[in-house]
Amino acid sequence: MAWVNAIIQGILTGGLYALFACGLSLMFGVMKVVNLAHGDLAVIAGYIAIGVITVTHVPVLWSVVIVVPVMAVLGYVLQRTLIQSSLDRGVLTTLIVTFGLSVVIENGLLQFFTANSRGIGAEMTLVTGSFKIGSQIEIAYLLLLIFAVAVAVLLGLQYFLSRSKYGRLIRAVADDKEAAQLAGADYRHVFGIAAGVAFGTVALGGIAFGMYSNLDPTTGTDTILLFAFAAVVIGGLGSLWGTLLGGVVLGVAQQIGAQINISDELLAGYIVFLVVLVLRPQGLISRRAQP
Amino acid sequence: MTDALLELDRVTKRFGRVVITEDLSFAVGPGEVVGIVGPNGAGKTSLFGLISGDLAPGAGEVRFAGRPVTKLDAAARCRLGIGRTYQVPRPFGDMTVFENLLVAAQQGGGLRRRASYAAAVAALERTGMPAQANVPAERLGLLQRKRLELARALATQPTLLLLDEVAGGLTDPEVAQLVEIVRGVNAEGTAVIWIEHVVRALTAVVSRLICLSGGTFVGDGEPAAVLAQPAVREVFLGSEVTAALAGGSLEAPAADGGERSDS
Amino acid sequence: MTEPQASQPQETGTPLLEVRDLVVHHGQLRALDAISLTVLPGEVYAIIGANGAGKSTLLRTIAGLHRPTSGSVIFDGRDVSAVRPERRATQGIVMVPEGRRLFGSLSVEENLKVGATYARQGPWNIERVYEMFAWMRERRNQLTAQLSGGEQQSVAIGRALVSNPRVLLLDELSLGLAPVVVQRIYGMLPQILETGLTVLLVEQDVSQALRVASRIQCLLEGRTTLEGSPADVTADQVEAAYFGLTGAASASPADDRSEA
Repeated sequence: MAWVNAIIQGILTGGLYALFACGLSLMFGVMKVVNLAHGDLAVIAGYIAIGVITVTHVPVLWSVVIVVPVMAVLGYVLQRTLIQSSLDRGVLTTLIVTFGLSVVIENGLLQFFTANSRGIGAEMTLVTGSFKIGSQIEIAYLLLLIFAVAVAVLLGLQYFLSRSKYGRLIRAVADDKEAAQLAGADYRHVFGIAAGVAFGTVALGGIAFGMYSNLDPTTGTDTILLFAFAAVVIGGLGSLWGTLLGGVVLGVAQQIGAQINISDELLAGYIVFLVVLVLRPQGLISRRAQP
Repeated sequence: MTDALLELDRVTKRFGRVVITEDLSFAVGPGEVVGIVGPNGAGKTSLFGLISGDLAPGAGEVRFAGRPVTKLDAAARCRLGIGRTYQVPRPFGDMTVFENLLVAAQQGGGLRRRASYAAAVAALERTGMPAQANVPAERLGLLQRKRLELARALATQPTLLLLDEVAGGLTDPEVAQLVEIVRGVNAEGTAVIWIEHVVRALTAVVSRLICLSGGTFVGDGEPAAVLAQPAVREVFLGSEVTAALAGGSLEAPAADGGERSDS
Repeated sequence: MTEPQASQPQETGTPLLEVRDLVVHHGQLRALDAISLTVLPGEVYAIIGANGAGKSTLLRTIAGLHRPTSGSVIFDGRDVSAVRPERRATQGIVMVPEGRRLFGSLSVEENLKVGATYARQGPWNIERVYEMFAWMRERRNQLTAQLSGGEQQSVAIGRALVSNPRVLLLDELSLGLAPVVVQRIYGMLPQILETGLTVLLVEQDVSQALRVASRIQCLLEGRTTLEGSPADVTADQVEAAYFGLTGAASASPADDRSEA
């Protein structure tokens, strides 16, 4: 039964990883930007949430309502300024600039918040509690909630991309930004919107992670970025639902690894990541997904 | 022509369902200068690829100086004496101009030490680049890169030189210089095949002009005669103008802009 | 003989679009050398010339995708030389680019919707495009990659039309299309013109251009070699202007401007 619990937990953690990954996938798919600071943005969101809760004493879940839009706006601004100007100088420059951004963020956080790890909402039953199915299977409320939120976010993204005006513009600009200009669209603005969406989703992921586990200044690159990459690669670049599939595969692999030997949890995940890279580098869902 | 320098014998090339050329046969004699014109998409650069070894034909044979080279790759054919320039110059960026030419002379020309230096210097002088000899290639502007591209091909000491649209964007004096370079190269016995849109550069130096359209030779012969052929004119100017040149007149366009009796 | 200045066309009035002494470089290469033209409201103006002559560069510069080295682009009396391409599109200069450039992962209708996103007021909308191209309505949810070349060209034109441009720039409509298809597409021009549009087109097929244009300009190696209305030029002039050869080989191109 431990195995069944492990697999269920792995599947549900996949939702958390999908939250990490979908923003990364979006930014790469639309503007070919690999944002190495992606994980750190999740951590910033978590710290902002902690700050908001501490200062205003709003319920934990309300912090989401405040933090996510703030991060989305930050995403738009950062894209229009820093990232756009580095894009104009080449792909390699963008890689280096986002790497630099990551270093600045982490050290900034270290400076202000010290290296101590923090959690969000650790006292809530939502976070610590679980329910049982039958007598053997135990599912944590939080994981189930995160998974549900991830699915809702992906559905929302799918709807946004396929039906809304800006979603269509984002897809058009991703296909051919010059042709989009000829149709009257300022691609820099559209890139900004895409970045805003990406930052918003990863902020959600950061807060979720802060509730599920703990955040410290290096969690961004140590954990979140790597998991996001792995989920994107395993699931397939360019596929929105692939991030969920990739996340689930990663999560399940990790839990199985943990069952075999508790210290092999992360290793198992990375082994699966490598296997997919070698055997099927385009990912499990390989077509360019049509939302 | 058994003493032809280059022979394409019933060569066919397809990319998937798209036929680039089918059953094409064509020969160039030693020392000949041939020009090739044709609209975009006609298959001109693909033809060069088949000659230089960048493309392998689906059927047919390519022979150089009498021996079959169809199975040889581009490097091998280069060493045999087929030199080529590419439409988009891609020099070795962090090497100097001279070093680029040395690589060409040694790898492409198969020359060693002193002979390779001599060949590199000769190519430098030929193309008017001695002043740039020590400039890193990545610092060259597009114009100079085109010159370097030509110099590199020359440094491999080819007996057949393939030029792919080297005159584009040049001013009148530069075109004249280029024509002189090609004349000089040919005077030493090198055969030249030159794809070009700047037709006057070709007509200044070639003895034979080929018009390529849709993978077939629509015209092949003396330049002025070829340009006057209706089939060739039609490729560039369309049917009405061709008909008018043959002795009709260009009618005014129909008032509604689209419906003439002949297609 | 040749008439270097354009003969007065039927329409008079201030030009809708003007290009003055435009010089454009690609890096060090000079693609256009002091090109000028005026397009009057309601006319069809065609630019012809061999490949590499600079035709597409001219259109792309007018659309704003290329910065000129010197010279200006004047639209409706205002200098738009520094205006970004998307702004020019919303002001009414809309280009159908060479090679169609449809949005491959979007359906036919979605492509049109993108075109309509920043549309100006005017007679054109998606419905009207469906009326003009009868087959399009049924296939509107198909991905554009599944369409034939001619159909893709129609969608590209439709995408430009729904934004209600004032000047429609058409770049090499005939590229890669069968002659019969090209005829059909150019046959749509009258319908487009009667809604008040003006057309500036680049065409590789000289005869086709002469059929539809009220005035033409021939480019050779970035320079103007012939200007006028099709009624006023002879086939010999066109040939000379196109190839740049006068009689025997190696003379400099028939450059009318140098005699001006």
